[in-house]
Amino acid sequence: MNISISLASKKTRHAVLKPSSNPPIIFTPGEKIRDQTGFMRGHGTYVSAGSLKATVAGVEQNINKLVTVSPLRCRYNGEIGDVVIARVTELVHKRWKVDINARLDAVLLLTSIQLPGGELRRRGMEDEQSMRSYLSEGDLISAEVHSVFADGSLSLHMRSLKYGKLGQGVLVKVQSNLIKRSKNHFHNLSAGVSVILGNNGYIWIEPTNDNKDPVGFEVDLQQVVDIGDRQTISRVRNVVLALSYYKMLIYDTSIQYALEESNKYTVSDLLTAEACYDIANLTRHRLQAMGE
Amino acid sequence: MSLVSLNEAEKVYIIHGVEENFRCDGRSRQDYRPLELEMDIVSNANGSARLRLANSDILVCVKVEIDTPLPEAPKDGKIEYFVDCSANATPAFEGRGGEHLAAELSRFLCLAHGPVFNLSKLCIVPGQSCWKLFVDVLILECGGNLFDAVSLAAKAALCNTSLPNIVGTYEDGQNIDLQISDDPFDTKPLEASDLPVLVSLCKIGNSYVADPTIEEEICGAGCIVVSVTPKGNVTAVLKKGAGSFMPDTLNEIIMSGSHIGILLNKALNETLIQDMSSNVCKQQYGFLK
Amino acid sequence: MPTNVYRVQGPEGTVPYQQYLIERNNNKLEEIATSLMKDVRCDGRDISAHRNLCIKTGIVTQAKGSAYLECGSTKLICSVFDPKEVPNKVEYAKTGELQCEFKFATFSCRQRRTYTRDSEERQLCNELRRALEPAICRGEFANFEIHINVLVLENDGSVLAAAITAAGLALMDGCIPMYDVIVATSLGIYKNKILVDPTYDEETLCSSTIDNGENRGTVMLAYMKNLQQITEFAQNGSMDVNMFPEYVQILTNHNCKLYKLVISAARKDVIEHFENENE
Repeated sequence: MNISISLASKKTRHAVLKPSSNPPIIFTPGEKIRDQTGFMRGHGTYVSAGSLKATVAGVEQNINKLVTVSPLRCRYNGEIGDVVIARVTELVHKRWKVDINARLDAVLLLTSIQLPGGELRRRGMEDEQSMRSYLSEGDLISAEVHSVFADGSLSLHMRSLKYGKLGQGVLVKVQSNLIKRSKNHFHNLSAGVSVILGNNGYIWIEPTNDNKDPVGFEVDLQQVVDIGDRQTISRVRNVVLALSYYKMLIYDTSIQYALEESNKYTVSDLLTAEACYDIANLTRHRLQAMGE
Repeated sequence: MSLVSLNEAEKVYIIHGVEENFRCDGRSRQDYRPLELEMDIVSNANGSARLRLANSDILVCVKVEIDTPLPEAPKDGKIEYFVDCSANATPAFEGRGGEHLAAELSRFLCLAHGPVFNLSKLCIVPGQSCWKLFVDVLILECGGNLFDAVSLAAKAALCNTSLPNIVGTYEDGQNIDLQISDDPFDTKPLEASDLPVLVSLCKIGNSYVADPTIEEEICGAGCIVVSVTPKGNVTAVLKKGAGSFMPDTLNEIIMSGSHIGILLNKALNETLIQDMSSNVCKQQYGFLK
Repeated sequence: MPTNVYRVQGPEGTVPYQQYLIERNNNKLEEIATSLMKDVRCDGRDISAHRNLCIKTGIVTQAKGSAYLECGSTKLICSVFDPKEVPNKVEYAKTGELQCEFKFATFSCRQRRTYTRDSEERQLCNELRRALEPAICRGEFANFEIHINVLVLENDGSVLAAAITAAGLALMDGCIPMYDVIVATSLGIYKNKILVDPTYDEETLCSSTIDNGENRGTVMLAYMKNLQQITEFAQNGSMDVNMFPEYVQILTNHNCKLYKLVISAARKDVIEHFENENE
């Protein structure tokens, strides 16, 4: 039994870790970015008296002549091709509404899933009626962003063997911009667990299962995850939360390094602030040493 | 209250984990998450404490006022508990959303403290005037296991409370004039170290866990909240949720609740002593994390 | 019971005169305490005897189910209304909801109670709901709510236990599907004496503040006999943990006795109903 009550005044306060290079210039709302001449107004800016000003606090981004300010913290803005983890919130006509941590719920059309058994055919009435047997409220899925609608909401698809309904495991929620975009968001960590880093900030951690039925909507509720895998999953969960607390990018290498650094702690010790700081700090040093 | 939803597979994962005595965040069934306490952070209050338990953030302030005692209890003071579920904590508390929970919490705190708190300590002149304590609980952030966090913070704040000293009383016909010391340091502390704390035990599968997270509360079939004094006596029991219990399970839960409660009281007491001893050059942190 | 703000509630700031009779009340309590030490209760009952029950179902003709229960001088009415669809409900609820209302009639206690609900009534209402929830097959009432109203006419102790028993009967009378019959009993603990079904005075005695480590308080337990499940457990006071198994044992035993009474009453009602039909 472990109960610890610490005093706030006794706690060592750790500032957010300093980045290695010079910090970028941060604009605040109303601050002038540059004169409008020759530039286009993008997201996060407005035009006033011939100059572009910021509407959000964030850093400037330029794409050719387009000037945008991207905020430091924001909800997930989807881009086509992103891998996301989503939770079904509602069933409506021929589609599922899913929560993806964005401003609006995304939709998953009945036509953009692969039917069990990989059948390829038109979706009829029967399929529509059995939608709830594929995915019902609360279910978690991994999917890819298929398109962006005019109002900014997203349409997802699951037409690949790597996407599907998620079974037993743990969901961790972090800020979406802490997830580093990379070629592959599905990682099998050496410790025996698989991690899906959703671009929307939802991270799924599950035991590695090699002989999984790829397109099934069936989830085995009888199977018991063995204690070894469970410990590793919890370790990954706590490590990811530590990295996110100190605003470090989350990708396969950073998780791997942090896991290696965390080995001197027990899994429950990783909940303490000191351990979190230690791991985040050591991981940063290692990443810097590797020149990443 | 909960914005969290879980599907069957996630629930099964949590339930299996509890059965193996290894929960999702690596704790065993009886472990608490690290708690953080800060005393004396509101200068306008007679006693205050702020407690953080993972994401739950509770601020408790005690204000002291002078009132006339009730006719049926002329030698007793008064104490009142208010819980405010601020809409800051979760959007579900907006408007009247948090009222139900707040009423339940304040009522249960009152029930739990009642049998132990000696109100005659708050008497000034019997039948004429007494102290009235207002215990205001503010829920700033809500991250599961509110009952435990609120009771710990309330006990800490009451231990931190001190009553101003009465220098003299002058009788002027029917009225009584109280002369209260104007020196802010001329106070006597309120003895509150034998107050109980609440221990929530959530039944998940065939076993039960202490300090449940929001996810675990959703998985659980029911929750028993036991109010435990430092000596291990039980002053109140409450059942939360729609589950039911076997008689043997209930006995076991109450037993282990009392066991955990003793340790929790001890941990809080040690922290309070530590706070007293470091009182000289204490740095205030308040809400800067 | 709706509250009526226009109703005259008497001048503000009045105090019942009984409150000034502190000495008399204290003497009375002391008398009870001393006779308890000799195992004698004020109403002549045995220390482990339940008061006599009077049960009648179907007394509110407009309600779907109702029950009147008398337990000594504690008298209350419980009525259950048809399941209704939850109004203004956005989300679909898989299990039905219980809406409980627990009200003391203004004249039911020694002190006059107000029309508005106070925190004690709210707490009793929560406890009643939690006690009944596990017993009702709520899965059959998806998206519906059932209204259960309890009105206490006279409070002479153990109201919550009586209310739960009455509500169980009213639900049965209203043909609401239930997993099991639900009954409840309460105990008063005073020093080493365990009083079954305490009266109001005994309850006051048991819930007085303690100075030394003596056991004192009240325990209430609602039980489903066939499933052997405790649906609600409420305790207040200060008690040694090691005594709990004993309390729970006594309460479950008494609930089993009560269960037999309740089902025999329910059976009689059904038989009477058919006899009346045949005539």
